Amino acid sequence: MKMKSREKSVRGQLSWLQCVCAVLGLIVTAVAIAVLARSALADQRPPDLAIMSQTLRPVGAGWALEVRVVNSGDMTAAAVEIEGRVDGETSGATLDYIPGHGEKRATLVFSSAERPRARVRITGWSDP
Amino acid sequence: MKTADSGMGTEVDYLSDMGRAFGGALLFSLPLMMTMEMWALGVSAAPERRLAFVIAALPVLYGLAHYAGFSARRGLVNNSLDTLVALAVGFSASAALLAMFNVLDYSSLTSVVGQISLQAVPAALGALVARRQLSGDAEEGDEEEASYPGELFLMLAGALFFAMNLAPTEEMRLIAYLTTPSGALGLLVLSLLLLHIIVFEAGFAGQEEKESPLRAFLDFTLPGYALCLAASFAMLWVFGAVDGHGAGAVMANVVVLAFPAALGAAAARLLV
Repeated sequence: MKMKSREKSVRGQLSWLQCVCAVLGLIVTAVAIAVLARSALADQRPPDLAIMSQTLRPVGAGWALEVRVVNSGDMTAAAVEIEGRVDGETSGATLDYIPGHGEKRATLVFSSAERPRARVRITGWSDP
Repeated sequence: MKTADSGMGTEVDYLSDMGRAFGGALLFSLPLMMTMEMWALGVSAAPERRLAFVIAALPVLYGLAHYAGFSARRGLVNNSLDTLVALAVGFSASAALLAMFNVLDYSSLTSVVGQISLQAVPAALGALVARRQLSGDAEEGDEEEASYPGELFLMLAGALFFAMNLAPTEEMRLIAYLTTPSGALGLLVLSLLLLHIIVFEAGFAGQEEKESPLRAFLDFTLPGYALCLAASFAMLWVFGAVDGHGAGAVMANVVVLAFPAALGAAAARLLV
């Protein structure tokens, strides 16, 4: 009963704050739907991964090679395996996910005392 | 002067409603925001499913604004405004918290928006049941007026409210893989039994006082459980949990998730 009377008293008078927040909600939701719809409606190209840059720095265990992996496809790649080789020594790292048009970094470690010249490649990935 | 005072009072009232909405959003969605599967799903789930999740949520949120809500205001305009406000609350709360946890994947616009919107929907749902959860007044809520379809809607909302926290987790799949067919069947029977007992004991408003247990079973328990199965399947589909599964495995997954959903549906009157 108490609620009923309150309901009656507020009926018809909209709060200014309510309207502002509702407009914000409308904008945010519409933008989210638009972004998701654009990506859902676009022709989904499979992941296309490439190693874009490498930076090498000395660490306690030898050398750390930081690689930047870029996905120029539309779909997400999961469990991306990266392998680096230097004379007989193989290092590897795994990236959980690289979203479409996204990039991630991974670090490979080599134990050589001299500055290694590694051959780095992506050995494979799976669908998420 | 008097109009200005009452106008100010309206704003202050709504401010406290908003505070309650944020409280409800956090209370309900924090477990999901702190679940790593949800962070990954925001990036890895198929974009059309993430989109379907947000769009399908809108009528459910509107229904909750009508039957529960975080303010005492009602009517088409107020319900619509409150639905949008709940979404604003959901989006801002999830964006802020996920950013603070540093779990957002900024590598593309779709990944950030996907992660935030996946969390914003349950947060908005939490905001819209805030009046029931946080008002401290047991009489708050409009379920007394709910019609039969309204009661079924509330059961669906309760099922979503309770099962959504479990649906994205890896444990649900593992239980479905580990359980035997007879175990799944047992779970199905247990779900129906508990749903029936709780619904019949709690007594829905639309239910006649002298309604027989059989009548209640046909009117509420069976359609309620069907809604739980449908809601479970929908959630599993959005999260990509049943892709590539055979019919038996799909059913095991659905039945396992429908168990918490059935408890949520049965306790709908307490939850939402």
